[in-house]
Amino acid sequence: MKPEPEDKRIQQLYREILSEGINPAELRAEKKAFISLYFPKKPFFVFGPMWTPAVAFAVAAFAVFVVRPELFISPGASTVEEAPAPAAMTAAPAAAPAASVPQTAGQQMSKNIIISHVSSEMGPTVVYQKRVENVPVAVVWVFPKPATA
Amino acid sequence: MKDPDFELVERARQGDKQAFGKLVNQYYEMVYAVCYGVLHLREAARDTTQDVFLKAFQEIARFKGDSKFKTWLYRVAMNAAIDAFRRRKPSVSLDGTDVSDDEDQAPVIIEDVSPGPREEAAKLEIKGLMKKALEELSPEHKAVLVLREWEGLSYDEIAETLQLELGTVMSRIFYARKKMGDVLRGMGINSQEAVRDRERKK
Repeated sequence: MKPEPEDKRIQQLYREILSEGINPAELRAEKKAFISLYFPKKPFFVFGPMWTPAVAFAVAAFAVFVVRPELFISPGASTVEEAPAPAAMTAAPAAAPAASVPQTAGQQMSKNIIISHVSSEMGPTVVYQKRVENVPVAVVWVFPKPATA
Repeated sequence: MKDPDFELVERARQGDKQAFGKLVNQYYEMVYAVCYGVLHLREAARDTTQDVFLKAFQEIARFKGDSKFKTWLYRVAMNAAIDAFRRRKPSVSLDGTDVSDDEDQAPVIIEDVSPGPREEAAKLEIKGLMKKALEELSPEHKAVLVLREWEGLSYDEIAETLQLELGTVMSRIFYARKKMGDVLRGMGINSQEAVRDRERKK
């Protein structure tokens, strides 16, 4: 049904009158303030139930293995006690180990030293070196028996 | 037809404030317009609008989805606006002038004191009188008028929204328009002039 001209005129005037009390910019600001006060957006991490633990694990792993591994991994500070030396070892070996070979595990595993290659051409000393990327190396050495003269 | 707000409403029903915030973002202006259409005061309309959303969030668990969320929200807004209208002090009109009972009965006296062009002055005069005519309407009449003339709802939609008989909606709109039409006729503006005025604007 087509509206009568007077009805259209009334509608036009009515809309003009009402729009005087409706300020879109003011309304937007009020709406924004109202929503942020009563219906705020949740923080990003709690969107899903698995986000928080997953992200926490990733951050911890990054810190441990990439950023500062030395803070978390200290092979030199091993708690394994040194086994007592066998009776046969109490006698001084006939030939001293090479000067370059470290004397104890504690001395050997200095944090700031990366051993890239160790060798010995004297005596029965066996040196085993393992190095995987930048992971601190573990060095094991074995004196199977005192050297004989 | 599926309610376009169905998913947000479902989340809001489970207490998801963020989902309800999106509904607020979507319908804030609509609710404000409806409240202003009944109250005709900005501050009161703003307060009522915010009350409507807070109440809607509390009550949304009871919303069964029999109608669209928008329709339900219209209803909540209308009831809140009408309640607010009845609670407030009578009666300050849109332009800040008091409307007393004596003025309601007084004949319209048109006095052109505006220094501007005659048409502008006449238009301002009409608007002033229209505002007074609107103020004289009951909140129920204002409610149907704002839904029809501002929101553009059909008679059927208004009837569903306000849970009224179709005949009641039609008679209220007829009465409200007649009241405003009386102002136009009182100003000596007949339908032909209205058409000419509109053509001039184009």
